[in-house]
Amino acid sequence: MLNKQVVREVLAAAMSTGGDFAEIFVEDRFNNSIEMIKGKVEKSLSGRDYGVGIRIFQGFNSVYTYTCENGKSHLVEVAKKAAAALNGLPSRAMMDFVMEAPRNNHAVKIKPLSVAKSDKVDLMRRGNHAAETFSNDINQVIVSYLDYTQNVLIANTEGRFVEDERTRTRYVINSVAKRDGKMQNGNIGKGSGKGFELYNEIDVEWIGRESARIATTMLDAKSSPSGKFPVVLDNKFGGVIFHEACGHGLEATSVAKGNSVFADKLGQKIASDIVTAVDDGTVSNEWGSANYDDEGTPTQRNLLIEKGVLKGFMIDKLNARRMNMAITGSSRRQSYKYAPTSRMTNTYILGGTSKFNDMIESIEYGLYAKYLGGGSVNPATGEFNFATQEAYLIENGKITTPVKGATLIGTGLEILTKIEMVSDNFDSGEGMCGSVSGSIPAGLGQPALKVSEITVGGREEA
Amino acid sequence: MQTYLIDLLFEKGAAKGFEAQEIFYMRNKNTEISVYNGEIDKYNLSEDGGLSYRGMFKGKIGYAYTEKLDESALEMLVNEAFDNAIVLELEDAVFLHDGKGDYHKIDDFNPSLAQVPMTEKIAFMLNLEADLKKIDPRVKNVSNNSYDEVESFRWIKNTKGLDVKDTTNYCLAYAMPVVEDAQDTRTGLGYDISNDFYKLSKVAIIKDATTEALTMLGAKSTKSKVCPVIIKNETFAQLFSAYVGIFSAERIQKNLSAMSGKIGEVIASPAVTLIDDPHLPYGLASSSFDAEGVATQKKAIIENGVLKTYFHNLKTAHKDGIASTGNASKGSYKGTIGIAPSNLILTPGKLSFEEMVATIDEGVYVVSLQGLHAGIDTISGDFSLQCYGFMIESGKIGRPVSQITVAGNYFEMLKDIEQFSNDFKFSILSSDYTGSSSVKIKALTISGE
Repeated sequence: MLNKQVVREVLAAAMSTGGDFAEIFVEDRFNNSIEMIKGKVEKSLSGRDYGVGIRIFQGFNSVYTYTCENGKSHLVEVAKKAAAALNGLPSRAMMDFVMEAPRNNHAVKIKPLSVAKSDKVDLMRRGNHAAETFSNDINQVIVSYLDYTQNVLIANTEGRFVEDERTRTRYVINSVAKRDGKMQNGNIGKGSGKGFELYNEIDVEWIGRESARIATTMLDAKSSPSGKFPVVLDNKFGGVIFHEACGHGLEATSVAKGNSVFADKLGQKIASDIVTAVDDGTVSNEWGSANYDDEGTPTQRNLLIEKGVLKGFMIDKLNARRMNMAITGSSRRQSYKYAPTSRMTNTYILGGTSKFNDMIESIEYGLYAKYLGGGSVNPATGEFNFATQEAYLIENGKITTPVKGATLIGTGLEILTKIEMVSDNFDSGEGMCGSVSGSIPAGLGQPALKVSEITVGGREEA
Repeated sequence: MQTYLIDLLFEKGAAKGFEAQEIFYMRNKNTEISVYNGEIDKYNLSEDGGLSYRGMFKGKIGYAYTEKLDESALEMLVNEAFDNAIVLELEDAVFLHDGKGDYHKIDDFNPSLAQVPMTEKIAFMLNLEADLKKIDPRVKNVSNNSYDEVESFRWIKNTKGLDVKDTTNYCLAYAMPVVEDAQDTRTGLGYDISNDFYKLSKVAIIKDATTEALTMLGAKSTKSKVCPVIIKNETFAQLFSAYVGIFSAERIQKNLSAMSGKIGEVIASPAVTLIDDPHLPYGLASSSFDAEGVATQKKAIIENGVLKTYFHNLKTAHKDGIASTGNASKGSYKGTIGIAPSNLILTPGKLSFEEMVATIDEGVYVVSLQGLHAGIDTISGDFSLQCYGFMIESGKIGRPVSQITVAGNYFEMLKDIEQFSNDFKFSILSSDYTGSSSVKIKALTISGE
């Protein structure tokens, strides 16, 4: 990466016009991806991302610049050009870098870079076979594999100087079923901060079968009813509901400027008593974890909601100034091309005491969402939406017919207070989250939840 | 990008055993200015780029890319591309283009854009924010207020004689106000895009950003029903383009599209004509060559409801025994060759927007759709999307409505399009640069209370 002397000179150049803080982020990342369609490798791609991002603060103002070239004189020139956007006198900053003791809470046992492409292909073939042979209705199977290794150096004028390596692996199967001119798909995957050892721990055949099962099940689905009903949202990726309905509204990105419905609610009751939620970037080798965030701050476990009361936000360095609050080790970015900002890491609703079966039995007519799709939110209004991938009607306390095209909508403040039961089957899932600082791996998780009422947008009258 | 590095790369590739080789090089200059509360909030000035390399070995094409450009990177490119080629199991014939063809001259690059002093651009954004806040007391805040300027250089060169390059640029100013009244909050978006800074209209941005947001205040849900729906021009462009992959020959050949076998058939109502126009003056996706270096061409994809062609690149066209339509795409130097439209135009109709509204007794006018990445299924065609808009009552726009979804099936909807009005507009939020007019659909399902 870069040595301390170069870093020192670049930061000094960045501070030459009155900035009060400067930061350098160096990224060297190697990506691998392979795609298999109907059992044949159709795509295999690899490449190297490399670049340097420089950020300068002056009060609430920030300047950001990046470049792919890393020669010292070039970097100094780039830093000076960025600094020219501020017009003040040079500031002196402490620049005795404190070497952090190496920190590695997310050790990788088998580095993906050391694994032959043919071994990755074999792994894909196994999942493909399981999906293809699940049913005669399976028409197409797409298996995607990716891994990357991202090395970063983050240093700033507060004396921080850290280096970190982040490994990510992901395996996804999308099965398409076709019958009588109807087509449906099922998508199941696993993402992790582990190395290739992940595949000794998970069952890729199950991923294949499960995606094929969803696709074939949904062939028999009827259109979802429309209206307001009780809904049971299952665990794992079901956590996307909290991610969208509330999580984004707790990011300083929207809180600091007052553009979140939660901005003025700290210490207030915003959810029902049984809801406790955290954002935790320290979970070992989890999809959204890291040793340090992208500002070089050690990650931590942040309590967001405790027994229904709003306890905290996710805060980055710049917004910490506006909010006059402490940073939370959850500032993230897709790459050196983005200035970092407060983002979720792994966001969880913690387990409760209800039993899944009791939840279903308590509902006369409603919806059971087994697998959710993606969603989005407008933090200013709190209005969110998310799609269901596999859902069923609940009739007289029993799970009955599969239904398709059920989109769930509502507002964050409303849904949090309508969580009636929290079960004891917590499990996590993984997604990609897109926002101002790019697309990043975000962990999700929750136990099954019963919400007393959500607007379900389908195509049939209830 | 120095030419000697390319020569050296091709030398190394030939030594490795590649029969043909190609580079795709991109370099971007980006400027971003955000303003908040009368001060510069963010100021980003950047240059980036990368080199994509592909080589043909025994009829297979291996890819690799790098952002670090030095001699050591060349070794990595050649070795990785080789490893990626030999792992492929495709049987389809693949090609590199030889550079022959009729290249339309496009001259959209405006060299003076970057010369406009930064102080003027900053002043524009500061004034935009200030004026936006003054326009109505209910404008509480401006959550995002940014100026983006992008200059992009592209170069494709191969060992079969192709050597094409182009430079494009544009600037975009946008504002997202937050409006509030009686405990109700709404957001708006206004933007303007051009390759000439002096053509950006502050007045138009403010009008678009606030008019709709202010009239949305007080919106409430409505009863679930099936009714005629009008979708706003830019919003329909987004919905339409979210499905446009179904017309890609790649998806057809992989059995992933319901449009399979539909060439020459009626797939939409006679009101639908879709043109792919890569030569549109100042179109964001205008270019004389595609990502394989093939000359682009203007053509109808759907004509009066009849499907005329799929989008093709060299590989899919060869498989279907036709010529490429010039729609090879590459999202960036990081990707492999895919297929994408250029500027997409849904041909407008005759009636004005008001005249079209007057044809509906009871319906909903949808102005915004959310969760387009999640709430649509391109395989089955089903969609169910959170939306907001207005009630249509006795031929007039009525009260605002939110917390509802609109649901239907894309393939059925294409046939249920009664007409487009004449208020054509491109949307920068569509996944390709797509333009549409507001559209009246016979019936869709609205879910609310």
